[in-house]
Amino acid sequence: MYPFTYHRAESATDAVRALNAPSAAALGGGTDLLVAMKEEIARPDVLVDLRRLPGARDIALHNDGSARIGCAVRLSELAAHAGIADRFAALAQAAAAVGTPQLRTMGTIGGNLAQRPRCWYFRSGLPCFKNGGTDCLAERGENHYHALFTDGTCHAVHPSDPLVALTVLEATVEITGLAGARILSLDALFSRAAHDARSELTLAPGDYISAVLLPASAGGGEQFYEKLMQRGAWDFATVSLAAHRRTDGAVRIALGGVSLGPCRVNSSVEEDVATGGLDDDSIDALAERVMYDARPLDHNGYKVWQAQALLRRAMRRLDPR
Amino acid sequence: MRFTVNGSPRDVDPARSPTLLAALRDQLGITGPKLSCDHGECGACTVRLDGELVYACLSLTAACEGTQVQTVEGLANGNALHPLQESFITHDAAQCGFCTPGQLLAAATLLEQKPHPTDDEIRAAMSGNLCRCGTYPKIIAAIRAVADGAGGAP
Amino acid sequence: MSEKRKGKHTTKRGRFVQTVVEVEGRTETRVVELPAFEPPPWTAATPLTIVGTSPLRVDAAEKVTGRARYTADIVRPGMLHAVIVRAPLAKGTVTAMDLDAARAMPGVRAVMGTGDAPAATRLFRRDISYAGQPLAAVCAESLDAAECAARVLATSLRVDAAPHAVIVDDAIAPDAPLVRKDGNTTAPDVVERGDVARGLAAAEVTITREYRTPVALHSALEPHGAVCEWNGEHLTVWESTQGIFRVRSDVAKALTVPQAKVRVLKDYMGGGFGAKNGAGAHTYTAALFARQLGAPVRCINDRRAEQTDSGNRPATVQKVTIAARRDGTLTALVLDALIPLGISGWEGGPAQIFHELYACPNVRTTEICVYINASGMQAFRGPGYVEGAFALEGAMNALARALQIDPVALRLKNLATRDERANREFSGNRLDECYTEGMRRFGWTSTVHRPPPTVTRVKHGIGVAAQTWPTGGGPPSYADVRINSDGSVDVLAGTQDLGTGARTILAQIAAEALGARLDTVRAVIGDTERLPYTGNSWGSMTTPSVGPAVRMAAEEAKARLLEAAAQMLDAPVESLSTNDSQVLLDSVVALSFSDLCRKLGNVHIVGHGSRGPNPELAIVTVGAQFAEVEVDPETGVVRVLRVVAVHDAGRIINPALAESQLHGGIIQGIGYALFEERHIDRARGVTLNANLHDYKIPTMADVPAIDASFLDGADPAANHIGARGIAEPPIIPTAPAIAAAVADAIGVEVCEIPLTPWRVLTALAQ
Repeated sequence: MYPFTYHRAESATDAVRALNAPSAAALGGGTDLLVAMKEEIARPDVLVDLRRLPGARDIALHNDGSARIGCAVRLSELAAHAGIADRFAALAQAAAAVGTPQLRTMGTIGGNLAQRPRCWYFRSGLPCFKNGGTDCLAERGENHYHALFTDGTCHAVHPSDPLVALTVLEATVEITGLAGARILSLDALFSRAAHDARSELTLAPGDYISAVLLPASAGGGEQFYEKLMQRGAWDFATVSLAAHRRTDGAVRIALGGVSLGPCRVNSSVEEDVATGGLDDDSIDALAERVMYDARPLDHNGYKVWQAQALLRRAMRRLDPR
Repeated sequence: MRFTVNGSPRDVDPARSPTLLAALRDQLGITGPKLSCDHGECGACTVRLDGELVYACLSLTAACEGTQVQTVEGLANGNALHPLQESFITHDAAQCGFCTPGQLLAAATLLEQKPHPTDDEIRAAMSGNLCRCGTYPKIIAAIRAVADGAGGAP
Repeated sequence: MSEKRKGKHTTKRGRFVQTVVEVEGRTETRVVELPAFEPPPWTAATPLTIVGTSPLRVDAAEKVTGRARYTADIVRPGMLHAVIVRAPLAKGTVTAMDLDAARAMPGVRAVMGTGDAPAATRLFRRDISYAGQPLAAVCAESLDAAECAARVLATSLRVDAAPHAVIVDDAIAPDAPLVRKDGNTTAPDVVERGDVARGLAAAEVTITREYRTPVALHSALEPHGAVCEWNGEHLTVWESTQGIFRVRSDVAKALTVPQAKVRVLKDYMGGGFGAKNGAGAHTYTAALFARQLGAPVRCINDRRAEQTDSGNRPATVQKVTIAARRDGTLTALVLDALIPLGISGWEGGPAQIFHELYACPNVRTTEICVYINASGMQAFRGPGYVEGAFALEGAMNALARALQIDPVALRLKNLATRDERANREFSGNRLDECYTEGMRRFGWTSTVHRPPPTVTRVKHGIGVAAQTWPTGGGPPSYADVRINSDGSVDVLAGTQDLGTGARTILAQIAAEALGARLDTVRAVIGDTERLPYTGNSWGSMTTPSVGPAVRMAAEEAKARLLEAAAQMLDAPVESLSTNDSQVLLDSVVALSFSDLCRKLGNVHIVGHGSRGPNPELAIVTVGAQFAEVEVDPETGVVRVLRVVAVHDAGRIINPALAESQLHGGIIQGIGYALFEERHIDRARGVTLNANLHDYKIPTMADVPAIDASFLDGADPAANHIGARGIAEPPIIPTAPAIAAAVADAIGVEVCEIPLTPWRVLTALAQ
């Protein structure tokens, strides 16, 4: 690894100041950042450890049903937290589906959202778009694990499991930066993911994800996360799905492993599922409609089938009747 | 920088060894944790940090100041082996032995959290430690025996 | 009996004879020295008390405490660290590299580039013929400093790229770039017995399939590595290797040093699986820097180098035609195989099992090796047979389905009763019993006339496949057994324990032959300077090769001990025997080994043993495996639920350790069947998944219930300990058994492994 200095942030102000340096990187569990540094796709001069920030390790369940999860809450804590499992089961299940016990013990929710794509062209240091090149090398290469949907050049997928659950829960993120704290939607956070070579997040210098916020509407109802992998453990999802039938009857469904950011399904499909009473033919038709805009590459067409399978199952499970 | 390794205070220079794995192996000569993938993809470097299971290859040395680190060398109590070590021996749960230090720490952590795991819970808890020799069935049996109170008996 | 066979088989010139030795499925003719005597074979009826039992692995305590020292754990005073800079593309020429910039980096002690290594090492050449090829190396005071300088070198590298071919289709295309000067393919290797045309004409059913197998990577958790240290003209090499003597001869030759001045040591190693059979770039790099700098040097592959340039099981494309009568009798087997070896390698091709597993009168195999711009192959557990079994057993299962014959019944009908390839009898082959015992343990119900697949979400299926593998071992292998002045025993053999348990079983064999207590016997292995020669630990041959030499050495030591005891007890030697480290006179304890040896003082009681030539028999380990899987036909995800394996390997020295070997082979076979596959970018020629996440080896969550066993018995015709090899056989039938179970579950054959979701779903969609 290239030499770097380590800075343990003691306060939000301290963290922002340190992260405002030209080549600073926020450190959570390090399970992605250190790998990226060893692979030389990241070369920070200073690592700003956010894990000791006041409140960063707190899970706050508010009386109004909303919740605030500090950026340094670890995935193992999310998975094991009774309140989270009770109110936000999809998130607990997604956190439990990450990697391995060690990775869950180390990894933080903030770091999980900020991790870089696992595309093997990018990670091999080849001159792809994310490594400063002009083209996506996976587009016509070995793209078994790549995206079905992209609005930019890059065809990588976001590796996060929790992101998929947070998407259906309509979570937002609290960003702390030079101008203080602000709230961003996940869509806004990832809006330039496939366009920006440097990062998947729309963050300015000094910014860091300080918390994940769950609205009251995210609590309860029927919610779950399902992940498809080749191996029984350790793998990133080939395709995953999170779904939520809210207590007000509304339905939210999102897919993972298919794009470089949050991937909610078409809201008209969610409405049809919320209405319920779907027979097998309409379920098939809806699953096909969700994937209508998918643009499979040479080797990842199977993900369309996998996504449709997860969608069909979710629709049956969410049917109110 | 000072931390505690297997109960003894130790000093290391984080600038020389950015990762905990390098600090343990290269500065302290503690070679139970192995360097195999260096990317958190195999588990051979598994140690316990303040009682929790981590990959030493992805743990930043500088962030470990003041922590308690346990490696396989600290599992036995003097000459008395940990029951899992005894059980690994009697169940032939180490072939080449390269992954064994990490497997043992993962198993010890599991049994502290869940003294009576099901086989599926063992599989899940141990899934972050690869074994290329394929010793898994005997590792499960060794853990099972300790959990069932059979100790080192096969 | 065995003498007579030997007479037929060997050409005797005094004490030396020519004999045929089988290694990794290849036969070699060698001249070997006849042993001074051969003890009478241990038959199935011989009462043995230590061999055949399961004492604990003798080095288990070292392994569970972290005391076991592997190559990367070796630290020498003043040790330096070397890092190899590797080619970033698959073909081209190095035009520039700034070695001086690297030399100027902090902590750097030396740099080697083009032309700086002896030609025999094949290191640091200007011409690049695969990505990952060593181009230069840096030696520095710390690994970090060496890596930093290596990055500077890599950045300064300028290369003229040339067209490459990294997949078989590109290498055999009409306008293919030349991979090697002598062409991209080898001449077809055609082996035929009988009359295939007639066999095909006589068939009532003919099935043709094309099978494809992937490039698989050994992925030992301990990467290749060496620590080298010169003391004057003497070189010591600590190496993670399956063959200390092979490393010694490789290094001596490449560095033009006498073998007598090279010492290779190997204590513990973290797996080999066939990839660690000699010296490599890391060894030469460490040795050259160490000589130049007068300091010890360590050079260990990082994971990317390990997954890119340390050997692999080559891919195959196998077109199989299988022809039979309606009753299942095979009439012809035809294989046309392409084997993309990489830039180099030998033909561990898939053909041989086609000639050996079944009693088919008409067999023709054609193998063409193809060179591609990728790192060369190395033997990988069951080389050739693993790939061949996937195709042959896949075709057998397809034939069974076509004929509506139970796949076990089909196999039993065509069971080989002798080795038709080499026209020899078997020393022992109880494959029929493996099938019947396996069926019983599995609860096998015929896959014929089963109800059609149900509409439940997850589908279950069962499958079977079989294996054969030459496991005779052979000479030369030597061992000494030395009885110390306290009666304890050293077994000295220059072999190596890969994690197989060789240390344990060699001690068991010696203790048994000597009549010594096992806890007084220690096997000393892994040192070329102090120990007698044995061959590499490959080809499942350590037990059948070294085991008899150890037994013979122990028998000779025992004879000498008893001669001394006869003097001491004033009794005829014929009346003496040994048991439990005691000398018995007319079956009554007369003297303990320790008392006897103490009285002898430092009189050296040593026995020498050597491995004699093989009989003119086919010596094979065989077995059958049964698998049950669950397939989700909507997602393409396959899970193996259970595997039953029954193998026949003659005598099992230590059942617990042997069972561990079966587990290991089966679990690697599951990886080969479901997950493992090198992905290489066709355009850039670079391996994309040179890590342990994207190259997927099984985790504990992927391991099914495994019931693995050996038939009881012994094979005294194979060698005088009655044991054949066991390490490689269990990986051979696993993938085809799983593939058969998947076909049974979903009603569609998937003829390419690994059985990934995309392959399963694509097959289902067609």
